[in-house]
Amino acid sequence: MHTIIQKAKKEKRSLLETEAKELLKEYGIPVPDFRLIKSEEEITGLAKEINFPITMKIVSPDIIHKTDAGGVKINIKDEKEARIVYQEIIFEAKKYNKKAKISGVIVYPTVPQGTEIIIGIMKDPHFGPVIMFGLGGIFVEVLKDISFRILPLEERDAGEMINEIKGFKILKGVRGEGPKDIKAIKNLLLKISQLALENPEISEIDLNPVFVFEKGLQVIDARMIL
Amino acid sequence: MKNFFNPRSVAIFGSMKEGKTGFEIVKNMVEGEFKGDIYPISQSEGQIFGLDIYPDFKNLDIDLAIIAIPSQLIPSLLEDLGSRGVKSAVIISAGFSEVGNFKEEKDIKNIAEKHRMRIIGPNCAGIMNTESNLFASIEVRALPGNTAFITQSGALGGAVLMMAEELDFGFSKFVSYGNRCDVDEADLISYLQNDHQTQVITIYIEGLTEGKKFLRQAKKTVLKKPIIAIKAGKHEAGMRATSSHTGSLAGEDKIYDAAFRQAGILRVEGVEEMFDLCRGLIYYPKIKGNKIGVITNSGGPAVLATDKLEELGLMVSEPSESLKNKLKKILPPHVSLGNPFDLLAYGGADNFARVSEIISSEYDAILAIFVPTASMDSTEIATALGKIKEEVKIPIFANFMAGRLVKEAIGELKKYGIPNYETGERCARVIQKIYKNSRYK
Repeated sequence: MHTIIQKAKKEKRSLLETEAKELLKEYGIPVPDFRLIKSEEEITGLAKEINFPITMKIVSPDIIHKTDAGGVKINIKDEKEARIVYQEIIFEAKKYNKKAKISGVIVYPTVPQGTEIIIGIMKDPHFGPVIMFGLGGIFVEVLKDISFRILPLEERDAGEMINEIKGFKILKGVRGEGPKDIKAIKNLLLKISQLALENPEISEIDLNPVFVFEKGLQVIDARMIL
Repeated sequence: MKNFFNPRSVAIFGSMKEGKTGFEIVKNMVEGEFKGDIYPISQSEGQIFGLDIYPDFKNLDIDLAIIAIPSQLIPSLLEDLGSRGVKSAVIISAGFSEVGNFKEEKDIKNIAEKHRMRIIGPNCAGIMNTESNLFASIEVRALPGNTAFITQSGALGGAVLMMAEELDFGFSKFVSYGNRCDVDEADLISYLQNDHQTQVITIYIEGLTEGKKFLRQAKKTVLKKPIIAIKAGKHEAGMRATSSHTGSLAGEDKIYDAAFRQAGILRVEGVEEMFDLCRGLIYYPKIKGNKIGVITNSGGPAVLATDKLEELGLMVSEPSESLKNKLKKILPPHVSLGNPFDLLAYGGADNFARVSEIISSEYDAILAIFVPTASMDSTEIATALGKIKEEVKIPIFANFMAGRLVKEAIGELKKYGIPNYETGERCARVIQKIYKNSRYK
C-alpha cells in the first residue's frame, strides 16, 4: 500500500488535496506546482518558489466543500496579499466548522483558463472500477454529456470515450480556437486508470476541473476518497 | 454443459396432470420428437403420451433432469440425483431468491457443488436445442435456425419464441436461465461460442451479478460470433451510495452501455430490432466500409432510406466518373447516374442485377429498394438479385415494399440469403450496427 494511503487510512480520512496531487505527480500526471503552507511565516520567500498570481485553498479532512467554507481564493498578486488571504481562509474555515482539523493552505500558480474537462473513477458493484469522462461545467451538470468505460482501460477505449461525447467538437476547436490536446487527455485517462488499479484502496476519484490547452493539460483540483 | 443440450435421456419430475408444468414439458418433448429417451416421473401412475410414468428413477439412466416439483422438495431430490451421478438439472420451479428465499437457493447450489452437478435455473422456462429436438421447456417449440437466444426472463423468452414463429425465424438453442444459481450468462455464451449450429448469440439481460466475468468471456466470444443484447431497465435512476461527483453521474444503464461497447456486444433497443439485426448478421457478419449504394425503382422510399443512412453516419456517396460511364452504357439515357441509383420504370430484373454488379466495385454494401408496379414482377427481381449475390461479393440488403404484394418475392430473397426489411430505415439501422461492429474484428 502506498504510504500516503496508509497514513490517511490510519487517520480514518480520505486523501487531502495535496496528497492526491502528490500521487498524481508520481504517475506523471501534470498538476500546477504547489506548496502546503502551515503558517503565515511560511509565505515569506514564496515568490521565489512559485509564480504569482497564485490560488490559495483550505486543506482540511473535515471540509469537503471548500468554496462553501470560504476556502478558495484566486488571483492573489503578491506575498503581502497572500498573508492577508491566509488569515482570512483560516478564519472562515474555523467559522464554518469549529471542530475542523486544519492541515494548512495549498498554494499554486493560478493557471489560465483552459477548456474544462472532468475525469472520475468510481466502483460499480457488478463491474468493479469504472472511469468517467466529460466536458466540465454545464456540459456535465446539465447535459450529462459523459462517457464511461470499465477498467482496465485499453488505448482504443480511451480514444473512443473521448470521441463519444457530443461535445467532442469543442475539443477539436470551435469559433476560431485551435484543437485541444486530445492525445494528452488520452494519456491522462490511461494513467489515472493505472493509478486506480494499482491503488485499489481508493474508491472514488474526481479530477474536476482539468484544464486542457492546445498543448498539454493541468489537473486543477483532485479528490480521492478511500 | 453437453448433457444439457445433447442428452441421450431426459427425466421430467413434476405433476403429469393435464395443464401442469410437468405435463406440458413431456408434451413438448414428445411432440417435438426428441431423439432420446423420455422418462416422466411422478407419483401418479399410468401413461402419458404413450410413455410410462415412473414413480422414481431408481433403475433409469438419466443424462438430464428437468425439475418442476414444489421448491421445498427440491433439495432432497437433488441429493438423490447427485448421489446417482446425474450431472445436469434444469430447475423450472419458482420460490427461490426471486421471492426472497436466498438461503433456499444457496442450499441447492451447495448440493449441486457437492455432487459436481450443474444447474440451470431455478425459476426458469427451460431449455431447447432444435438440432437434437430437445424441447425441455414450457414455451412454444422454436423452429430450427442459427440464432441462440438466452434470456433471464422466461415470460419474455416465450413471447419472443411466439413472435419468431410468426416471422418464420428459427433458433439453434434457447435457454431461459432464471435466477442463475449456477450456470450463468458467461457459461452459456462460452458454450455457444463453440456450438456449430449457432451463428449469432442473442441475450436478454435484466441485470448481471458478475459483470466482470461476463465481459471477459464476451470479449473472447465476439471474436468468433456476434452477441446481440437487450438490456432492460434503461430508465432506472442511478441511485448509489456515493460521495463523489462521478458516482452521482453514473447511472446503471450508462455503465452497462459502456460495458457492452467495450466488449463489442451489439446493444439493441428491443425485440424487433433484435430480429432485424439477427437476420442481417446471419448472412453478413461484416461490412467493410461505410459507402452504401442504394438502387431503387422509386424515389420516395430511397430518400427516406438515404436520410436514415446518412443520419447514422454512413455515406450514400456519388459514384466515380468511370463508374458513371459504365452505367451509361447499359441504362436508358434519362436514368440518373447518381446515388441513389433510381432506375424509374426501367427497374426490371435485368437492370437491378446489372447495376448491382457494376457498382459493387465502389461500395461496401447495397440496399435494393423495390416498390411493385403493374408492369414489373417483384419475384423476378428477387431471383435476379439472388443469382448475382455470390458474384457481387458485398452484402446486398433488400427493402421490398410492401406486404402481400411482395410476399412471394421476399420468400425468394430469403432462399438466396438476402434479408428483407419492411422499411429502408430499419434496414439502415441494421447496416450501421453491422458496420460499426465490423471495426472490432
